[in-house]
Amino acid sequence: MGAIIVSGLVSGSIYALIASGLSLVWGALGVFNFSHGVLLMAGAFVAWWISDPSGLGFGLLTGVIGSVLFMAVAGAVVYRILVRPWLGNSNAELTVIMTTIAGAMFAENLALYIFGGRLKVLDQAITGTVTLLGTTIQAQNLLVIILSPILLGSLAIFLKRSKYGLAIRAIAQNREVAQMMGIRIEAMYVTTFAVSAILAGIAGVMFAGLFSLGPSMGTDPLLRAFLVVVLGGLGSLPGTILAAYLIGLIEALSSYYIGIYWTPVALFSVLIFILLIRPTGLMGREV
Amino acid sequence: MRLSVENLSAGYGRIRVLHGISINVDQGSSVGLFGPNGHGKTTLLRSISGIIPVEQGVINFAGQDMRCKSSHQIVDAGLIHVPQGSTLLPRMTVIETLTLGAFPNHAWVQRNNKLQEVFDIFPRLAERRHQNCNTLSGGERQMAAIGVGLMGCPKLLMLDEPTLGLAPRIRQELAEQIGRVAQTGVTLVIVDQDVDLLLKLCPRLYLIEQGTVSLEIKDRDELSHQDVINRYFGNAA
Repeated sequence: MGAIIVSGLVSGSIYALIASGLSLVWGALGVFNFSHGVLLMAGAFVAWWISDPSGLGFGLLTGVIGSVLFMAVAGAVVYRILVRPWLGNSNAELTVIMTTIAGAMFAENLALYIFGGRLKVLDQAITGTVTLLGTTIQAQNLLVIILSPILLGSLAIFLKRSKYGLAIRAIAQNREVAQMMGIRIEAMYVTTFAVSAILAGIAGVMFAGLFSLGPSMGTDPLLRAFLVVVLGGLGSLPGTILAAYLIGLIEALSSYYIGIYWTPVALFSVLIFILLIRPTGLMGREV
Repeated sequence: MRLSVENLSAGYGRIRVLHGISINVDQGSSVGLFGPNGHGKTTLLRSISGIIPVEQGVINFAGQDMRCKSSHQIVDAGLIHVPQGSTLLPRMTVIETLTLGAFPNHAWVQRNNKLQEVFDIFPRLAERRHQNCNTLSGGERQMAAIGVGLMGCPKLLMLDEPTLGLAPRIRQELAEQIGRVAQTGVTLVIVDQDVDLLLKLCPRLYLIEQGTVSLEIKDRDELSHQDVINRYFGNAA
């Protein structure tokens, strides 16, 4: 049972990082970014390429720092190329779904072209095991479980206390009032995408440290993240985080008790059931 | 710090609302705009603050052309618009909202002093500081909206119908507070239906009808209240 909970918390932690970025973008811009999964993949590959001896070989720490910097730029680029040109159009929501899917396909195949299809392994930040409350946990898993809430806490502080965080929330709540306050809407949109991409990149690095890297490694986590965002309530950060851990735990339990093939069925059943009771998700608002 | 609008035309899509309107606002001398609904008062403010594009005409503020500036540059220049019946930021607290009002860099560094000034003028906001904006009453919401404008260190503050839909007692309170704002040296442009209020606060008034200025009252003493009423509602009133 201990192992199941650990596995659930690990997935939950990673889903929370991915989904909060997705939710942030939805809240501020009202669009869904379908290239969020390849951002995760890009973050992992950049970290791998910088750190691995068959790449630049600078070690894991440099790799992670490099990946975070790269992701900030990548987020801004995704915004400028795939989102900005269509914002403000009457059907921006649908158009952006298509442009970001197209961008995702392009990036996935680019990664396949550059790095090849063979799965790669990222160095673990720490190795060995830790025994906690009678359960033996891989140190890497424990790191993910601890690091993720710290990052999410920093995100919450950023949104609650910092000038730009407050501005991002303001735009999400009332764009015109934000504009009249002198908030630079464009700059804040770029910031939102950069923050969201950094979160995806870190999730990618964590994911790669636990499993492996491949060009399509972002597809499954993205699907889970969508589930999480809808379950938690669109645009609600606490709801998203709660839903992420919930989905992680349900996934772990159901893969153990009813098998991995039926897990998606279990997850979507839970989603449908909760949406029947609460159509706006766990902590979503009426629109 | 003079604002001059010359021959301005603007509207929404193909519908033109303003037809070559011109107004002048001198520093320290507040101006009131009144007139029937749907004749372009709000549209005028929205085009000055860069929310909607200008088709034609000149907007000059403090010697700078404002027409092609984006809204944040206009706010940076000290020209701030307090929108009508604002819902503010519904799920943010009063203090968060006010703090964000100081978004321009030059205002941000003095946000704590500014906050104190705003609380001095509007003591009710200090009481409500940790409440979300959507829990405020209509009058408090208006106070918060003006407070947000003040946080940005305005040189000229444009208030769009600040007393709209308020009970007489709150209206009175707000009018006094707007008077105090004017005393701090901020030039005001006030749009309101309440001509009495405008006559109290502004030495100069414009009557706006059909997207243009149909009467300029340069000196309020020239005109008695009855004249305005006659002009505004016709002699039958």
